[in-house]
Amino acid sequence: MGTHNSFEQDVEVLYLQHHGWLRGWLQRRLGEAADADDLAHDTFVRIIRARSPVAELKQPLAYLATIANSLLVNRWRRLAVERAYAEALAAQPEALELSAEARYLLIETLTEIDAVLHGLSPRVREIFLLSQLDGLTYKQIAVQLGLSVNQVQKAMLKAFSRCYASLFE
Amino acid sequence: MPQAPISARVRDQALAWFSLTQSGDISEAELQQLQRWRQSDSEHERAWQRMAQLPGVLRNHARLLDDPAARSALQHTRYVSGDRRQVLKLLFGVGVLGAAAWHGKDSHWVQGELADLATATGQRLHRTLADGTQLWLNTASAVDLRFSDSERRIVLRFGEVDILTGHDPAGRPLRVQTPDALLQPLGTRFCVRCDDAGSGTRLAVSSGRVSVTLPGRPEVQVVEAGSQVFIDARGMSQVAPLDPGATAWIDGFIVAERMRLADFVAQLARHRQGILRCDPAVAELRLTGSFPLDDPQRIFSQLVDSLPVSVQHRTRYWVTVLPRQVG
Repeated sequence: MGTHNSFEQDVEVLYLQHHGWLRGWLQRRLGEAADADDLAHDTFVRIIRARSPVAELKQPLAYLATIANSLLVNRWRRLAVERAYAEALAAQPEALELSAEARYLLIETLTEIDAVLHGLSPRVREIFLLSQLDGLTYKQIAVQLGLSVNQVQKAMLKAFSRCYASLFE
Repeated sequence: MPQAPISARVRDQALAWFSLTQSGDISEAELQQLQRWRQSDSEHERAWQRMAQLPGVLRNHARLLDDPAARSALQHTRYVSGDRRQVLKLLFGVGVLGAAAWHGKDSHWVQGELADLATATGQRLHRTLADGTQLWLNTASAVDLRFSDSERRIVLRFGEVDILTGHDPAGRPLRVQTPDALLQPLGTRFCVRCDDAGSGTRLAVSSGRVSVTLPGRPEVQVVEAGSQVFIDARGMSQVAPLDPGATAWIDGFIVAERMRLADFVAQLARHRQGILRCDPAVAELRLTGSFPLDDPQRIFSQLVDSLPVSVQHRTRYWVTVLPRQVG
């Protein structure tokens, strides 16, 4: 508070200088002006939330592009989760219909988990879920899926490594 | 407070131990071994503390994952980050229309694509070719498209072109020819600039890789994503990091990051008819910002607002950037 150049002012300068470029950059990648507006907006929201200094950025464009790109990837991941969820619902006609808001929150959370598990195959994910949610032993999982215990061990190690990398690296 | 780092070796040991504790079959002897491993080194213990957080990834959301559809969605979401083409499609919007139009049936359409592409000063052009390759032509640029059965060759006569390679159904390689080099991209987005024969070629690779062959030399050099090189009669320069502002023209901007005013004016001059000159007295001033190419008057007023300069219009076609007169 009270300093000459506040963080907010720095962000404002960054916005004035580069928002136009960022919008164009996003629009070229998305093809939709409205989506580009949203993501350009989200990029600056994220910068403001992160509160890491922006006054002395050596490469402001690279910085903006990196953040915007992660938002793009996240958006794309979310679409993949939405699609998978819609397919799962279609396969279970008796499933409960969620309210729009509950569904939004569910997809949001699933997207976050999916980001942690990204790169893991459906098989590894299944093994991971059976162990960590259902509490099955590696032997039980091996029997249920017709695998060797060794294969289950390998899959679990892979899944834990993925989680570790997402949380700490 | 930053924690001391954990080496990859200790991390892997901890992961192996942790996975064993989750198996439901760990023996008493193994538990004691684990105990000893943790106590033998503080780094081991720190790594072990991290392990405790791993199950939370799922278990913190256990109730949500009771919903069978949610669980199934999580299991079957295919995140295809490894699939480079998918990523490129998303990020660069490869022209689906262009790819769909390639069936060799409509020879008029194909023939039309074989014509030269060119832009006048101040013009820019985006074109999706029959194979899905996209070209962005900068101001005052010209390319020939020489597509044959054995290759897709793009000849940059002069100017600057940014290329996002499409996947050719016929599997023909894409090659870009300038007076200085023959470039072959490998699943790539890259930008080539060569203002004139003799002025050298600048190659900037945004993604993928581009192999470079120089005339009369047997060896092939590879330029990786995120780097740029300059090629002239003396050969290829050292690899430098990609300047992200260098392709801002595609979006209709000049982007300056502490750019010398003289360099900025030289860039702007490429996009304008007539003479645009920078007085040496202000050449070394530094400039930062995004400047819309389609609105030169706005660029001039941005210049005057941010730097101690004035813009003198001798005639419509002769413009000079000068030091501002005080008083």
